Amino acid sequence: MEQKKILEAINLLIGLVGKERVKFDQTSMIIYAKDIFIPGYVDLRLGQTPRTLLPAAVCFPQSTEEVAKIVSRLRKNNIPLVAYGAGSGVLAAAAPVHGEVILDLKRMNKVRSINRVNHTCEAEAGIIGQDLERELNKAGFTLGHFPSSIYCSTLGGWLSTRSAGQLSAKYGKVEDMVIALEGVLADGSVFRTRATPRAATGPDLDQVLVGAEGTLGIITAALLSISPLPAAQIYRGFGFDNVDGGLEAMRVLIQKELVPALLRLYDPLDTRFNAKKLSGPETGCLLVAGYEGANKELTELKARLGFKLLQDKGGKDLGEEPGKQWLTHRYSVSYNQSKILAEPANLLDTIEVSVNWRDAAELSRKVMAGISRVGLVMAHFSHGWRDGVCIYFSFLVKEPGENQEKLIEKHAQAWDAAMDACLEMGASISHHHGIGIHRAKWLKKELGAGHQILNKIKNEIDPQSIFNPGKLGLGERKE
Amino acid sequence: MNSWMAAAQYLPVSAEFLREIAGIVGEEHLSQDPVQLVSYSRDVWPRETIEMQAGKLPCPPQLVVWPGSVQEVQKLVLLASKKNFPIIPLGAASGVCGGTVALSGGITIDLKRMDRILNLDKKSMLAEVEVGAIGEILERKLNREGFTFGHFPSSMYCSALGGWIATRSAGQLSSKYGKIEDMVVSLEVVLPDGQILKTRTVPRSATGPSLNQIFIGSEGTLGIITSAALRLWEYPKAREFQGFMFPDLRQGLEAIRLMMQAELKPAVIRLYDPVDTYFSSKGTLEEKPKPKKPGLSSRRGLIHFARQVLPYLYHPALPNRLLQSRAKSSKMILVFEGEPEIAALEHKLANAICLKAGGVDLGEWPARNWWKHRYRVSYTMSQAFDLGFFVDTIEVATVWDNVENLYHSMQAAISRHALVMAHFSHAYPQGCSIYFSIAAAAKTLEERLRLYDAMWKDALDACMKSGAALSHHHGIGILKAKWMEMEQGGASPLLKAIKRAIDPQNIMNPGKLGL
Repeated sequence: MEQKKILEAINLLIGLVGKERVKFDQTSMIIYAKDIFIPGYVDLRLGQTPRTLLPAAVCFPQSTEEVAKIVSRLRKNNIPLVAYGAGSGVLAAAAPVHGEVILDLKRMNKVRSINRVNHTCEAEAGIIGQDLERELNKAGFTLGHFPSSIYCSTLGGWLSTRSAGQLSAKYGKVEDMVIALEGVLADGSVFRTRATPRAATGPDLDQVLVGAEGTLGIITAALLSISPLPAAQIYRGFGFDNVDGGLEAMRVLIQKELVPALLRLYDPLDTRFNAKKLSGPETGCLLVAGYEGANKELTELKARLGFKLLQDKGGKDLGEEPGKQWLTHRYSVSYNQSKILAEPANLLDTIEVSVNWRDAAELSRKVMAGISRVGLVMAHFSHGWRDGVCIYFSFLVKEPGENQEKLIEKHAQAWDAAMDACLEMGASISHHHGIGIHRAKWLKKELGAGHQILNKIKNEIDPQSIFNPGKLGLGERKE
Repeated sequence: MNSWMAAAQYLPVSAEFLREIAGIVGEEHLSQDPVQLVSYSRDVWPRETIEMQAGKLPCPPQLVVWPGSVQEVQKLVLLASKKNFPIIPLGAASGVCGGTVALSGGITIDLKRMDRILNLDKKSMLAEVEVGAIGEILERKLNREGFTFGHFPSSMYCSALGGWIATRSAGQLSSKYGKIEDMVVSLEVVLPDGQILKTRTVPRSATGPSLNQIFIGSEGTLGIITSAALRLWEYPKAREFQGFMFPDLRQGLEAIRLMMQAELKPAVIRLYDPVDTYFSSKGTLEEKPKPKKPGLSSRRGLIHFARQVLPYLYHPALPNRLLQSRAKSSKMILVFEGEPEIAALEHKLANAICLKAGGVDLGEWPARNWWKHRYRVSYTMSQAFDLGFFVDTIEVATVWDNVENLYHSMQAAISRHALVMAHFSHAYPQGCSIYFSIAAAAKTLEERLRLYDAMWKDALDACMKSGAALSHHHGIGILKAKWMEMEQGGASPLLKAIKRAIDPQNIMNPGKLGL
């Protein structure tokens, strides 16, 4: 964006919300220029922040009406904008690529209401996950959404990327928790969809906006389903000889209606890596299963039947300790990465994909083989569903000479191997991290005619492409 | 509304056009026979039945075509789109909102020849099924493999998978198995431009807006769904039944809410309002161990009653007031199924909640009896029309703290026009649906239509005013199109954008969903 337009944007924003809620200093612009998309670290290592990636300004609206006002005004001047939560996305979905104005929604962080009769809560999009969960806990409820980023991600970010928490087997992904949405369309109009558990009133517009990564509308608040705090939490570890045995046990457990809250199987490398932390075995595969629920008796029955089934399927009972340890360390993973990334010879990343049970083991093998050619890779299987599972790969690429270009190249090769294997096998390229910029090229292949549909919808609802242009591979900016 | 004669204004069907269509599907799979066109001119929308009684035909299509494969559907769509011909996809036409009526003429594409199970992945518990499959037949095929689909609308014998998906159908066991939108994993859709969209058969993904949830509920306005991958369940090993009588409606509703929020998953939860309870059990707390004569499920009871009190139907306010003030107790039926130990414990926990809420244990008989007759209701409606009155159903949904308000305000709105009763089913932790059954009468056809329209207007105005959803599982069609804009709470530009993006020529089922 040219300097003249940047100044125009800054003045507009100051006029709308006042000086104290608009930032345009260099430091802030650099901070907001990236999320946790891994290759972004390489730029920082090299001391680079490409000028084109800096936002024009950052603005902090505090109400839906204010967001609407800003959108109308920016649209009139054809200035694009990015709705921004906590910037902890890993695919550059919230990174400015056209010098956008950043709309940081973290001031919109209120829990508007907790409804004990309906088991719903209405919260604003900018609230940090843990703050929302804490408010709910005080009232005797839980959202049941526990991504490992819970301390550094917002409700709006979750909704925009179809986030999943660690206990998704019981509570669902965030898209399963949405009852209604409030937000702003590109024409500056405000919408509030109907608060109803289900409806038969045409396409589900909530499910069009959820996952749209800010390209079709800005979600400013949501009405969510909540659950009573569990009356019982029963967690336990099991050892399996190999991945195939563990996967089979997971599948049968879920399909038998013995759905736990937590169900996670670590492959041999991940098992060894976690052995100390989780008091698990050094060899074979660790599986952690946890039952929880509002009714103690029902939870205990399911746990008893579930644990018995896991043993029948060849699991060795490792007692409660791995479960307890898992609960203790459940969020630590997000904050250990930086140590490894601080080493300029390393690049670490994660890839989560979604696949049906029939193909899960084979896809896992294919991806592991592909990534192994350029780096070290391990996997865990989590977020189990009746029909399939998420495979979560963690990989490390190294360049002892610290050549950053070569690191980026290896990183790209690992991604290519994983994404190509998914596309080839009919799996999905993302289970819960989303698309952003990084996955856009594969998204086109995954969705086929569906991507053209999304592009046409984008052009109809936001013809100037002022909402997060380019993300999901949607929208073309005409300056 | 268009009539038979208006067909003359439609785009002409040329001999060449017919030859081209015959080339795609074969001579024997297309028809312009007037008898066919008449039978395809309507679905089960009661307003059409009222019109038919007066010899007025609703909207016949110009042509009916029965394709046998997705490739044939694709060719038909390409041809129609080239000529700008409207297309109406149709399953079993048992919809009740006019969703498959050929409002602007065009080609009705009947998909019933496409009824195969294309693939059964037992490991992932997924079946890929063509949309023309009739519910009961599909379920029976899956049962033979040891599975159930879990979708049991009362129209089970006369509705197709495609219709279910297009209208966001719900089955009677939805509290356990979910609505159809929860059961569909992926779709194959022929788009208006002839492209074929295939979504991925994966449990969940984070790949942008849900394309499935755009086409589910689209009522044929965005494309023709040709097949779907569906989640299956193991055929239940155990099934338990339970009935309760509550001294009043509020206690019964409270019991449902507490059961759903205690994470119990009864397959069936149905609570009949006092009027419905009165008809089905004559208002007593004692259920006889043997079925009484008719009147054991809502609409059968209503018809039985209405027949006796037909004169009163002309002045429904009076009998409504009488019934609503006299009848107090509410009957509930529960069914649990699945893994034996879990079903048994859920049953026990549910009983404790119901007793605590003031329910009187009726044993298992009321639920067993309901189970036996659970599909009968769909086939009794026509009797009412023969007797000179009309019946209809209105299903809406809302969150728990609005359920009573919604019930009373819609009941009051309908009571002016029709005899009304309701049941509460399809429960969720956050709310439930209310299903009103109505019966009304008027002397002349014009009066009947006027009464019909006034009743719906007042009922849905009251629904909108209370903030509830216009429909829980019947869909919109033509009947509720007027209220769609209000329903969407400012998000209607998005739906309109979706329609323009996918079907810019507006050839797909024009006029439905208010599009």
